Amino acid sequence: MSNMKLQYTSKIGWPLLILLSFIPLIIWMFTPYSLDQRFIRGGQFNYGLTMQALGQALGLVGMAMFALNLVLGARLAWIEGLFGGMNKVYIAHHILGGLSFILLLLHPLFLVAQYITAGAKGMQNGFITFVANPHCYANFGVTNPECSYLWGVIALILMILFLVITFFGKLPYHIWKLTHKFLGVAFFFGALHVLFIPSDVTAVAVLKYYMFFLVVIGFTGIFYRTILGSILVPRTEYVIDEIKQVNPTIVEIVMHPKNDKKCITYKPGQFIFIGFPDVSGLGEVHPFSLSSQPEGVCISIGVKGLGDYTKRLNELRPGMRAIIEGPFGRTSYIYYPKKDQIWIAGGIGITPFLGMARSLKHDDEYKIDLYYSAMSLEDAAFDAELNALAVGNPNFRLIPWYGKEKGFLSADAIIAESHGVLGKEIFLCGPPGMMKALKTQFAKWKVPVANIHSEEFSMN
Amino acid sequence: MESTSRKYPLRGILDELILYRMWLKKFVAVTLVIFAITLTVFIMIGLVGV
Repeated sequence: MSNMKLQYTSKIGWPLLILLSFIPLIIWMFTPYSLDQRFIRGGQFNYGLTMQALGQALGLVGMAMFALNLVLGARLAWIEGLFGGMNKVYIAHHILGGLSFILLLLHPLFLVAQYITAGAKGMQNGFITFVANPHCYANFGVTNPECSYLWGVIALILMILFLVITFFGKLPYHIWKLTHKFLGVAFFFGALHVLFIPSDVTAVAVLKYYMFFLVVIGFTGIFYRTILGSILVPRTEYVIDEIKQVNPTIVEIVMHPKNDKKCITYKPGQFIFIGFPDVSGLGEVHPFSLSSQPEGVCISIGVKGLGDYTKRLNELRPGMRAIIEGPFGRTSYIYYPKKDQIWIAGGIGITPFLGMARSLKHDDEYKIDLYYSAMSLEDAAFDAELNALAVGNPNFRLIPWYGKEKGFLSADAIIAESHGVLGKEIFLCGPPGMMKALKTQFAKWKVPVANIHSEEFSMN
Repeated sequence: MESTSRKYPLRGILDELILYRMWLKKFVAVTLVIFAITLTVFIMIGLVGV
């Protein structure tokens, strides 16, 4: 993808999501009733009608967002072009999922609120209508369209169960992922609810077909990633060549393609999802930046044992298989027009820059300053190799920064060392706290946010 | 050169909202609490007609 094309297409994602989410609301605003009819009766504002209308509107938009979010979660390569990187797709997935959840929680609350003015008897009737209709439980009465409320109740219970885990739980990754897959079941019941409950969706053909379209694309996302993922998702098999112990906590895993004709094509600094099926518990794919340069046959990743998964990677041995999905990511230096660039790495965040530094050519027009922040020289695992690359390339400068000696790396220090950063592309990869602090500091120096590029995988 | 966040204030705000998403967690938590309270009241009234 060309630089210009990337800059334009990467801006489409969010507007498209918002448009697709609100189309049901736009249809609902005009058919089968006008907005006046939805809120006013007998020339006066009507509380019950208003609560009902707001409840319906929230439900429609919430369900549309739920369906679109399943597509975002399917990790489709073409979608990352719309957002400017797979990390940004996941951020959108997180936000849209949260918003959808909030709207779908508010949906029944507004519907219930319409009964408040009717007193206890009215609320009892509402309760029976929504939850406890005896006709819906007897003789499989749930097939009755009047009982489609129940599908919505089941969908909401499942959503609450699985999304509370996502937002507030601290489960191991593989267990959390399993619970997240069950959101597909919640979507199934939600789809039954929205398509069959007597409502504007069943009454207005265009709304019915649009919601059906959303349900179909939602299920497409589920089938592609979860149910038929092992068949449909393109994966490439590699074999581990070597596991280099770079320092006591960091290893670099070097791999070659099992079939020379089937290897991945990537840009320096991109990342892959990788799993190791020969070791129990390591088959689940996780994202890692490629530390290799694209011209070789072999690929490598640099890993620090920080989590449950990465700490176990020392169990890997040469000859074992690696299953790879990708590459992904749009933060490679070659995607951006300015050749004068600042690269800032914190700790193990050096790995994408390692791949980019290894790919630089002496006759490139790029002029790079790489800031490598670590606690000490011993923690700067790739310092020696990067130093050697810098010595041999006058356009590539390595600026090591050891926290124990100088404290945290700051925008002030970078601006002073690199003689200003305005007009340069800035790339960041490191701990979330460090990236947030540097972005805030650069903002104070009036650095345009469009010139700062980072991989954000934190889901907090 | 003028800052993008100053030139386009909304973009600066959106950038912050997108990158640092504690607000989302707080919104979800508040909505869940409101939901639980309302539903409890509704079910109590619905079941026993309090």
